Amino acid sequence: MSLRNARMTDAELDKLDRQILMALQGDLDDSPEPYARIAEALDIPEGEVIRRVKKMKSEGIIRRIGAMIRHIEAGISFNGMVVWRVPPERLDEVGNRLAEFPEVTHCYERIPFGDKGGSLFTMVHAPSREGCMEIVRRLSEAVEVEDYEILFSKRELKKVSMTYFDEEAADEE
Amino acid sequence: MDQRDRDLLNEIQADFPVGPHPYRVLGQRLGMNEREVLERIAGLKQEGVIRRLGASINSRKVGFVSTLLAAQVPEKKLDEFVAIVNACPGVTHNYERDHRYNVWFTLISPSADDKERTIRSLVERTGIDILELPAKKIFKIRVNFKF
Repeated sequence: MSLRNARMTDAELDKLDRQILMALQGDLDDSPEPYARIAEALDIPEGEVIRRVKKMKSEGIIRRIGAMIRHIEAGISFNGMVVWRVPPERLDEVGNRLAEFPEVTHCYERIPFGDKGGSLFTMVHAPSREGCMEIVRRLSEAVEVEDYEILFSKRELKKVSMTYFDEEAADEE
Repeated sequence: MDQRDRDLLNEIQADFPVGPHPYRVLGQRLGMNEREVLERIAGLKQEGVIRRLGASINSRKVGFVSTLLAAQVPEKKLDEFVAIVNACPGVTHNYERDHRYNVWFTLISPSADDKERTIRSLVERTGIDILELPAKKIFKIRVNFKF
C-alpha cells in the first residue's frame, strides 16, 4: 500500500476508540479476560470493546494484536538492513517479491541511499551475521538483483513501542 | 524456552484472539489449558523474550508521520549523540550499524511540522547532520519470527 493510499483512508477515531487504543498500546496485564478489564475501566460493555477492536483491526488502524518480541533475548541477535539497487522498471516487482519472503520483516522504497544509490530497503533477522548473509544471498538469487549492500546491526541502542495516546489526546473530541 | 514456548510464541505474535477468553482460545489452538498459556506468557515476559503483549498501531492511520533517519557520528561523539537522540519520545528504534552511516533510528511524530522541528533540534543540539530517508512506498511491515 502506498503512503498516499494510507493517508486517503485516514480513519475517524472517536474518544472511546482512542481510549481503547490507549489501553492496547501498552502491555496487557495478566488478567485472563483482558477486554473485560478494559471495558470495566471505561465503564462500557465488554462487547463494545470487542466490536471496536475488531473494527479497528479490519480498518488497519490496529495492525496486529500480539506479542512484541525482543529479538536479542529470543536468540535472533543480528539484523541486516539491505539496500538494493533495482532498475526503476523492476522496483514494484522486486519489492513485492522480496516482501513475500518470511525472512524479510520490512520492505520499503525510500529515496536513493549510499554509494550504490539503492532505493529498496529490506530488513532481515538471523541468529548470526553469517545467517543474515545466507538469507540475503538467497533473496538476491530469487530476484536476480546482485547490486546491494548490507548494513549489519552492531548494537541495539533503543527499542520501545510508541505512545500514541496519552490522557490528553484521548480526551480530544 | 522449550518447544511449547516456541509454539506459543509463533501463535501469539500475529494473532492474539479478540474475544472474551483469548487465552482459552490460544490454548485450544495449541493443546494447552488457559492457565498454562497465561503462565508461559508470564514466564516469557519475565525472561525478557516478550517485550509486551498488545496492539501494534498503524501510525499513519492515526495521523502520525514516521520516518527513518541516519547519521555519520564520530566514535568520540557517539555516546552523547545517542543519549540526545534516545531522549526523544518519538524515537522508537535505534541501531548502531556497521557502515559509514553508523547510527540509524526511526522517528514517529504527531505531524510533519513536528517532525521537521524535532530533526532541526537534534541537528542543532548534537552538531551532527542527519539524513532523512522517508518511505516512498511500503511493501511490507510484518515482524513475525519463526521459533
